[in-house]
Parts: sequence; C-alpha cells; structure tokens
Amino acid sequence: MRPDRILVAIAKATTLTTLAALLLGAAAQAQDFKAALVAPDTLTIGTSGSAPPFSMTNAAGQLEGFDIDVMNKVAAALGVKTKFTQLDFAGLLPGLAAGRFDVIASGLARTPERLASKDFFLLSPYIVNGVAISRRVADTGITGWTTVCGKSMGSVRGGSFQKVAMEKLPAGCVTTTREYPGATELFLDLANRRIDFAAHDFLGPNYLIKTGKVSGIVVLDNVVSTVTQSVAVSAKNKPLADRIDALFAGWRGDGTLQGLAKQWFGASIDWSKAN
Amino acid sequence: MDFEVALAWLPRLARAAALTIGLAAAIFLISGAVAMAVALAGYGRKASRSLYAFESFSAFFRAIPELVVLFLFYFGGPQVGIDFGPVGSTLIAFSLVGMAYDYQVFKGALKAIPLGQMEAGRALGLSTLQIYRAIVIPQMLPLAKRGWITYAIATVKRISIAAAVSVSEILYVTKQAIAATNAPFGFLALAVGLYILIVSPLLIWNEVAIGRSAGRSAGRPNGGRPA
Amino acid sequence: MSILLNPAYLAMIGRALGMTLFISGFVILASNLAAFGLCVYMRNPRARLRPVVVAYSLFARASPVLALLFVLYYGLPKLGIYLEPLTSALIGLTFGSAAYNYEFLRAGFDAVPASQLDAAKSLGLGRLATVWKVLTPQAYRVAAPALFSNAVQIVKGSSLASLVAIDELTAASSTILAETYKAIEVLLTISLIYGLVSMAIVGLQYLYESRQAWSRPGR
Repeated sequence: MRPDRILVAIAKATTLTTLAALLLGAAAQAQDFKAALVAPDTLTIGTSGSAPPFSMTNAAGQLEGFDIDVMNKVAAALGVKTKFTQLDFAGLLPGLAAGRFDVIASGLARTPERLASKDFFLLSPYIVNGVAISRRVADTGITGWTTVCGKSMGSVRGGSFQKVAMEKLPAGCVTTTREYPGATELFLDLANRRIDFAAHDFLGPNYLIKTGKVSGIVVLDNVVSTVTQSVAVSAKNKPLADRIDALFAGWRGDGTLQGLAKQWFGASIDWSKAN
Repeated sequence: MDFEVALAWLPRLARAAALTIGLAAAIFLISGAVAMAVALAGYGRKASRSLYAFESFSAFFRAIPELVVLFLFYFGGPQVGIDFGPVGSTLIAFSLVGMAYDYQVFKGALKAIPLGQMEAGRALGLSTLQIYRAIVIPQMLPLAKRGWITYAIATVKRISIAAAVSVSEILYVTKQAIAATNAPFGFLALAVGLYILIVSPLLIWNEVAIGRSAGRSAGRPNGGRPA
Repeated sequence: MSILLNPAYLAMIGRALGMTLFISGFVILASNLAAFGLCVYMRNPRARLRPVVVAYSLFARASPVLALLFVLYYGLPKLGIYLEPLTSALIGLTFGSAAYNYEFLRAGFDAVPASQLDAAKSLGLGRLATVWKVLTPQAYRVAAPALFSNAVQIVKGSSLASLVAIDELTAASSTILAETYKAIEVLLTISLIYGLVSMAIVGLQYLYESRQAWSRPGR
C-alpha cells in the first residue's frame, strides 16, 4: 500500500477507536448512574411540599417551586423522567438513607453534620440563604436576636435552623420551643399567635409576604449566619451525585440558578458568600 | 373565598372518599378472614405455642398507637429493604391492627358456643370443616356482630391517620384544600360529613342490633316504665 | 434501644412522656366526668336537650379524632379564638372520648335492674342517694372493662396530638428519627414505652376488679 494511504487508515482507525471509546465511556458513565436509580429511567425525588417557595403545592394540588424547577432541569439534562414524592420534612433524609429516594430537593441546608454524613451526598450550593427571625408585624418588641429572650420559638421538625439559633442565643434565653411538620404550618401558627417568632430561613417567609400568602408577619434583616442549600443524593449513587454537581457548577456560572432565584425569590444570589 | 378554586377541590375529595372506602373494604376482608381463621383454629383446642404467639401479637397491636404502627411500616420498611409505599404501609399496618381486634371479638363470641356441639358434630361423623361451616360459624356471627361493627367503624376512622404518610385519603386532601383556599371550616365540615356518610351504614346496622334488647332497666327514664 | 443511652434523647423522651401522660390523664378524667354527667342528665324523663345529647354521641363517635383536632387547630383562629395547641388538643380529644364513655356508662346504667329503683324507694332513699349509692357502683361494675379499654384508646389517641404541633412521645420519635435514621429502633423503643403505659392501665383494671370481688353476692 502507498504510505499516505496507510497513514490515513491509521488516522481513521485511531479516530474511530477514540470516538468509540468516548461514546462507550459516556454510555458507561450514563449507565453508571442509571443503574443505581430507585426506578428505571426515573429520578425519584423526595420533597416536603410545605417549604415555600422551595417546595409547595399550588391551588390544583400540584407541586411547584424552586426545587421542583431545578430538579426538572436536572432530569432533562440527564435524560430521565421525574417522580416527585411528598413527605414531611423530618422523613426525607431518613427516607433517602433507607433507599426510598434518589434525591432530596426541599431547601436542604448544608450544615457541617450533613456535609460530613456518610448516609448521603450533600452537593455544592444552589442558593445562598440565611437563618432569620420572622415575627408578627404588630410585635414590635422583637427587633433582633438580642430581644427574643423569654419568647416562644417555632421551627421545623428535623430542620437545622433551630440548632443554629439556639447556638447563637445565650443559654436559657428561649425556653419554649415548638416544632412543626413544615414551614407552611410554622408560619400559619406564627400568624395565629401560637408562637412569638420563627427561627427559619430568610428567603422563604419573604416569598410568603410578597405573594400575600401569609399576612401580618415580617422577616428581620439581621440574618445570623449565611446558610447555603442544595440537594442530597443517595449514598448508593455516586455517579448521579457527580453528574448533578457538575450541572450545578455550570449553572452557577451561566446564570441559570440566578434566573430561577429571581423568579422565585425576587432576589439575586451573592455566590461570594457561599464558602 | 374564591368559589371556583374551592369547587376545583371537590372531584379530588370524591376520589379521596373512593380511596378511603376501598382501603376500608380491603382491610375488613383481610383482618376479618385471618382473625376468624385463627379464632376457629384455637376453638376448643388446648393452648399451643402458636396461639400464645398470636395472643401476644394481638396485645401488641392493640396497645401501640396506630400512628406508630403505620410509621413502623412506612419508615421501617425501607430500612430492611422493602418500600411498601404510603398505601401499602396503610394496608398492612391497619390490617394487622384490625386483625388484633377482630380476633378478640371472634374469640369472645366463640366462648359462648358450648363445646359439646363440636363433640355432637363429630359423633354424627361430620368433618371439622363441616362442623365449622354448618354449626359453629352460623352461631358465632350474630354474637360477634356488635363487637365487629364497633371495630369496623374504628377501622374506617383510623384510615384518616394515613394522612400522616401522605395517602390521598379524605383528611389529607382536606388539609391541602385548606392550605390552598384558606377555608378550614367548609372543607373540614365536608371531610367529617364524608366520613360520617361512609360510616353511617355500619352505625345504623349497629343500632338495629341493640334495639331488640331494650327493656325495663334502672338506667332509663322512669326505669323503663311508661311515664 | 441504644437511643435511650444518648442523654439528650433520653431527656427529650422523658419530657415527651410527661406530656403524653398529662394529655392522657386529663382526657381520661375529663371524658369520664362528662360521661357521668350526661348519663345522670339523660335519666331525667323531661331532659329537653335529649336529642342534642343523642346527636352529639352519634357525631362524636362517627368523626375521626384527627378531623376533630384539625377543626380546633385550623378553624378556631379563623374565628379569632387563639388557643394554645395543647388546649385545642385537650378539648378535641375529650370531645371525642366522652361520647364513647357516655355510651359505655349508659350500657352500665341500663344493666342495673329496675327493681333496684323500687327497692331504693321502699327504703326511703332520695333521688340523689339512689343514684349515687345504688345505681352508680353497679353501673360502673358493668361498664368498667369498656371504660378501662377506652382509657387505653385515649392514650393511643394522644399520639395524634403530634400532628397538631404538640411535642409528645410520637413527635419525639419523629425528631429522633430525623436525626438518626434508625426508624425501626426508634419506633420500637417508643412502642415499648406506650406498651408499658397500657400495661399500667390494665394493671389498674385488675386492681379494680379484684376489689369488686369482695362485694359480689354470695361471698
């Protein structure tokens, strides 16, 4: 054979082999995460449905919110369907650890304990939030973290914000605490005068106030500590965790998450605050 | 209140009512059948180890709150690798609880049937199954009716607890409707009305069973005598 | 059972158990008192509220307890009545249980033969003494098993209060479960505690019935 023809043949073979290897590798990677899914070709997502505006139900009883939109985008990018399962917040992480879900998307805060947990993968941030006090408008006695002593505090059962609050407050400052199945019930009771203040996030109640879903409450600006939130992936599916993490990294940079945050929270995200 | 929004919830409530009735029927069948079988198996026989085991099981499931039993299957199942799901967990949990109560009812009814009938049946050459079918069960059922109805009503109401694990039964859908429409009284009245409707055939049947034994007694006005 | 070894969880369970016992105790007492009052009232042939009592009994026995709790929890604030969750739960649970106790006690009073009334009259006993000294002990003797069994039901009903923001035993199990993920261990431990409370009630029933044996005729 002529030398140039041999070279062309070698080049073609190499290209084809490389392409084949890449395709197989990509397929293998795709197979990896798909193999460990709870239901074939479906992303089984656990969410509380009572953490507005991350996860809530609309008048027609359907789930909607920041988390729902993010997960729909993730599923589209991965080429799988979505199946949302609603459950009280306290049952989400145990459900994930027990293999009931692939992902938990419900405004999950990235606390040190959760980040260190071996029961699931907590991914990189998709939003920046903070722990804040919400109180009734008429209750002008509460102006900040120094003026809540002796009052009753409400929080979500299984959530992390009450721990942060109790650490920040002096010992014995708050003695009456009440826990709720979800943020919806928490703010309802705040409005119904059963608790004096709620230790929850900053963005959520702001949404409730702006849309008029709860009236008569106000969120105080002095956020005690920045909290980043994200989704948690089953410990059995590292390939899935890696894929979603990569998607989040991309969306942090190209403004996709920013756009969703503007739509649901009316706020812009300051990624520099996320450590 | 937005009437259109409220009206939109009615079909969902109707579906929830259908689910409640379906679950109740399934639980009645499973718990009734198993409880009757075990009660009959132990009738007239010396107490065996398996009977003691069933008695302990019955005591356990009657002493523990139904919500905790439900959680045990709903949260505990996945821990051992089985995900029953909300409806499955409800079916299993409440059938077991129903079984525990129904067993006591059938056991009590059987106590009132003299064992001599079994012996007489055997003397006539009847098989055990024939004795049960023709002699024991027909006598047991009227005696067990009142107790069974009481627990059947409790079973229907118990299904409302399944709202805690997001089963779309009446109370769960009601809670969502309240959150969406901010009209608690309307929807809760509807929910309670639906449950009463579902339970009323059983209630009426129960009152009919009692009425026949009315008579003179100190607890009635004037001691039951005509005024 | 290792969760009991954790002092923080042990303290939480202790407090929660206290709340469960308080709710159960209060509802058992209140519903039994209400049932007794209703029975005595209904003995009056001219009781004008008779249909109301009958309707209440049917309604309260046909409604799921959880629905009653929701009515008080979600509904009252709409009327401008802001009660503590504990108060709402106590009212709701008592409302539901009193109807059952009334029916059981009514059956007890019905079981006392009318001849007792005649005997009491011939002894010259007034209406109050008749009811209190003659009818009541006999009625309770008959109704006791059902009333004790309902007491166990009330303890189990208290677990529903966890669904309306009360930190009792079942709520504690949810919180611990959310942190440890050990569903079976947590729930079985809680079941054990509930079982012990039920056993205590059965023990009380045994004590009561053995005391009754003294006064049976022929002993």
